[in-house]
Amino acid sequence: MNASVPTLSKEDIAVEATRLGAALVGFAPVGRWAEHGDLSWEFDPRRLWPLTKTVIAMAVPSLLPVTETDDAFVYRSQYNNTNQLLDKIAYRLAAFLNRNGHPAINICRDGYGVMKIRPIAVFSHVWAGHYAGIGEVGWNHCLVTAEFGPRHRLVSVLTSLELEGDPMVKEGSLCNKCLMCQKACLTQAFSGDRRRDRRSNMNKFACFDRRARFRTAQHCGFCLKVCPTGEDRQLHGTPKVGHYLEERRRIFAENGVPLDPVAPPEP
Amino acid sequence: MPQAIEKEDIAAQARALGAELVGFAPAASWDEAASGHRPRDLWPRAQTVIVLGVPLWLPVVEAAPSQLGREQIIVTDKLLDETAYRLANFLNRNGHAAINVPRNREGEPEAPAEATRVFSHVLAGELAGLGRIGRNQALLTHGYGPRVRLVSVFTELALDGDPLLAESLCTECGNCARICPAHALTTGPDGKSTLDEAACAANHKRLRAAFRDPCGFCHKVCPVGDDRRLFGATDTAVYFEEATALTENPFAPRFQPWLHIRKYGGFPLPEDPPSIR
Repeated sequence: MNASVPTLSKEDIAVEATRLGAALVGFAPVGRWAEHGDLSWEFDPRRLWPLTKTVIAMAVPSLLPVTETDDAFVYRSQYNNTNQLLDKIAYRLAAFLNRNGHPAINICRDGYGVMKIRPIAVFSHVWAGHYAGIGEVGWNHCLVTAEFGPRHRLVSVLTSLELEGDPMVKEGSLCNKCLMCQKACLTQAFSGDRRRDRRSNMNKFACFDRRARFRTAQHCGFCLKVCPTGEDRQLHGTPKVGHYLEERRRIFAENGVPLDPVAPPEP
Repeated sequence: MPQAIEKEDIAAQARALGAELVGFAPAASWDEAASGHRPRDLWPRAQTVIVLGVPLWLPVVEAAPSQLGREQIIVTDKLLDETAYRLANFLNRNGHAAINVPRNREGEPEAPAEATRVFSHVLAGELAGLGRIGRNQALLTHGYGPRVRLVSVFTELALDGDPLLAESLCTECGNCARICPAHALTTGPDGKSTLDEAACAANHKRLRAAFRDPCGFCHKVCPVGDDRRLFGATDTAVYFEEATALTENPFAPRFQPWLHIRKYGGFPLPEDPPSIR
């Protein structure tokens, strides 16, 4: 900590984040939470740390072929490894800011110690990514990005340094509400009327509990792998998504579970 | 053929790998320490102990007990162990034998008591000039007070030790002993402070069952550390006012950030105010 405070530009910070391993980096002025009003005041970053001026959101990709795999160990490893990498990136970026005299704290990835009784984390990295222009919150409640669709993981750093925000993604440009996530979901977690709602209602308890019916596909991830958005689909040679609905029918059949109808839109 | 390598090279490498604090202590500095806990008891070839530290962020420490605080410890401990391991590899591949001594797991249910703990990174930090041990038995540093996690690397490479800090950093304010919910810190007639490890560990175990360990109260109340100014939190009286203030007004604004952090991710605790249960 120096007595003189070196100025850091957005670019300096983004370069450091990238050097530490982040694939996507965005900056959200803290005023965007209240301005857009998607979340209650309780989940405004200033409620967590009153000095917050800017939220730095960062993402690393979940590789599509691993997201698609039915090998639970491989899938789980990717989940854990990306979370650990993100936590390290965010901690070290906060250390970089603090070392340069700009107060900062990282918000760790895993906020769900007791997921099944209160499935809410202290902070939403997804909405931070939305306000930082990394993507838009889609029908599946995930942040849909141009690069990886919803196939990535996110982390955030709060800082008292005031920085210019990145432009937000135009609404509807990354999630056109095709409802593939809703149709492919193994647990009927998503419902809603796409003419009326910007995103689905999500039943998190259905997501945890109804998955237990399957011996296979415990890790699921259907709402991530079916999303047609993302340059990664071309890279990995899986541009089309219709075959995932076949896979869904197969999973119900091989587990002896009667096929759920796709959750009907609400009246 | 060992490559010549300077202290500065090692410190720069440690920082590149993630350490924020780096200090060096000759293994001979432990000659007076208890047998069985000296570097050469673990590894007879040890010549120098390299101590690495990373800070904990005060706004998270002072919100304890919370799941976010637990995650902060998990993340910093993993980073430290990785940094120490990679620094040992850096030394080994340059021809200087080295081993890293991993983080202790204080307070965890399976953690050994002080008497059987392999190595004290706190004592190592003091001998490497990173800080001085305070009344709360933690290493107090100029930068972050006791809000620092530490790890050590042993090497057979002989290097100059960093000077010990001449002055104690502890102000003897007694905040740590007063706030301790386990009443684990006591000062004897000789002025020497002792920690009742069993009492501390029992409280830790209770918080861990709720996914909300560690307590860290003796760290948050310590007035030492430039981080207090950085984070705009120089007033330590506020920690003692919290309970009364929240009884009078459960929505007292200055405490809402801590209550928010405590509310999510872990199980409720008996000491939580009703507003977050």
